[in-house]
Amino acid sequence: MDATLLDAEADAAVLRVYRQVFAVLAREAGAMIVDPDLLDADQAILDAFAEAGSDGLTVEQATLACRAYPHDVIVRRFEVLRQYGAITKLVDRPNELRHRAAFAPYVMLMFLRRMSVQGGQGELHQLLTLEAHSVSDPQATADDGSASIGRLTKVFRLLGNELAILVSTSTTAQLRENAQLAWGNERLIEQAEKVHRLVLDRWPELHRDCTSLRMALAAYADAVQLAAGRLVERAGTTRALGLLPIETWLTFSRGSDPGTLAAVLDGLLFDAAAPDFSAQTMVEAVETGRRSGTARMAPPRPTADADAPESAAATDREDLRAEAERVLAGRPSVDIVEVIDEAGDWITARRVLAELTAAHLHDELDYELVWSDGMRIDPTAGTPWATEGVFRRVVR
Amino acid sequence: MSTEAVERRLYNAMWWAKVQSAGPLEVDPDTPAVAGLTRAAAPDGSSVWLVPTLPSGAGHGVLDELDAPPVAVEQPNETARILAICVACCWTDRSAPAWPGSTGTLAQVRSVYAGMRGRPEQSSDLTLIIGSLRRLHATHWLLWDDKAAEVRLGPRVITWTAADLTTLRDLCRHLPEPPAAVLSPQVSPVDEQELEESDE
Repeated sequence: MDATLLDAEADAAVLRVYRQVFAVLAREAGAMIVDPDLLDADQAILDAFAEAGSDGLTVEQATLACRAYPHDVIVRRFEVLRQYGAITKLVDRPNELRHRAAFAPYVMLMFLRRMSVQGGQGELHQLLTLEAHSVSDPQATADDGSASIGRLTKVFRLLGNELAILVSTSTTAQLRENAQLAWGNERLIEQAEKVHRLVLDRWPELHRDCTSLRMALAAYADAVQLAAGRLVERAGTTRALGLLPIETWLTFSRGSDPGTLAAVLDGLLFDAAAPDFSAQTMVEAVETGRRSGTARMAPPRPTADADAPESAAATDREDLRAEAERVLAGRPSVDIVEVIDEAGDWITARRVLAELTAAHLHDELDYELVWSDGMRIDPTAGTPWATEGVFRRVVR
Repeated sequence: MSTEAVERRLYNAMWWAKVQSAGPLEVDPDTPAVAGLTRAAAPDGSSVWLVPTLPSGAGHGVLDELDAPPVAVEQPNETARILAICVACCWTDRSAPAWPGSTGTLAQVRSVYAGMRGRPEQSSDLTLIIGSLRRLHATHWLLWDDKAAEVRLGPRVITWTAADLTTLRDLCRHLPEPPAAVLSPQVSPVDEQELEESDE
């Protein structure tokens, strides 16, 4: 019973620290900080508490100390911090106005800030160094090694997954913004492999865990390669160099003083500013010059005058005439129902109808298609329903 | 870094600065080699041009990629045409590199220009031709001698790649064949010196 109570107490302590740590992340229950300015507000509050010393601060004192920020923002953050235990009453009694701050949220805050600046790369390097340190500790056990490897596997899985998802789903711009995931990957992989080697040498029985770490590392390396490939492919040869958007370079070149610019160009050789004449531009210039200068060219003539191929329009016209004559078969006019029945099925009949309509509409052909009101209905015919009408030669 | 290496660096940096501000430089053939600069020896060996060597892919095509405007030149098409004509006149041995080529004359250029235009020469042509020649001379694409009315390809043509040369060979075939060059008698060294001085 005692042991259980002690356990519960330890659990509660862990929980308390977690609440404090995540207080800075939670604007309200379930909501995360989305605006870095809110981090500034938190930091200002915690700074004020650090200044205040052991007497603590009331809410009013805290807002006064943070007057650089809007009053309501500070009050709201204060409430949130108190709710999560990052700020607690100096003495736990009703009506206590003075508060004290815990140090864990501040540590977390610093951590978050560094993460936001460096994208977590620095932390990852430190983590890897720490893991290498702990697995080479003489007192470390196989369990420590296994835990170490497990943590690293998860880290690299997450890293590789994120990058792979970005490569397959996001636009190049998004990919470029997240390029820090790919930065320094060789050093990271190298460090991880060092840990892997240490563990495998000390505890060969952990080879199974080591294999999964190796797979995670390989997946990460692949993802980096894919991402770099996509960036290079989309950005051309030069723009991918720094993985920075072009505007960044332009701003830099416009906003830097001569010293900074000179320092960048130190050791770079470039040509003096001069117009460029590539072979291609010369060819184009000569082509245009030739065209504008030469006398008016004769229009292209058909090679053989006698059997000149007829234009498509003329061919069409003759085809229509032939079809119309075939349908009329020498008669001056023909009944449409007859034509349709002759055609057999509707598929053929509608093609014939289309051509007769075209002949009717054609300017140069003297045929017309006249519809009347009647309708022939005959279930045994190929086209049972047929509107009556006449196709005939127009006499001019 | 050893003293020698530092000196070497300074030496390179000085030449680089010169080339970066002025373009290709004509120097004494005794000048030691400078890293990154291609040496283009004049045909008579009296001097050497230093031309910056850019890695492949780092040329003017980059400007397009960056959506940056290229260095402006007056009458770009006319100028490019004259350069093409000069290539046809001065690059007589088409199997050899374009540099140094041979000397062409203004008469040749005018004749090819009229041939390309497909009409008799007009009085305004000469103004255009001379203007383009001077522009190309200023940017070291050509070496144009105003007094002798003779032209040679400039040191910049050494940067043309084999692919460029293939295109140009084709272009030369499409341009009218230039008449034989009638060169003015070689100027004596004294005159040459005077010429250079007057140029500066």
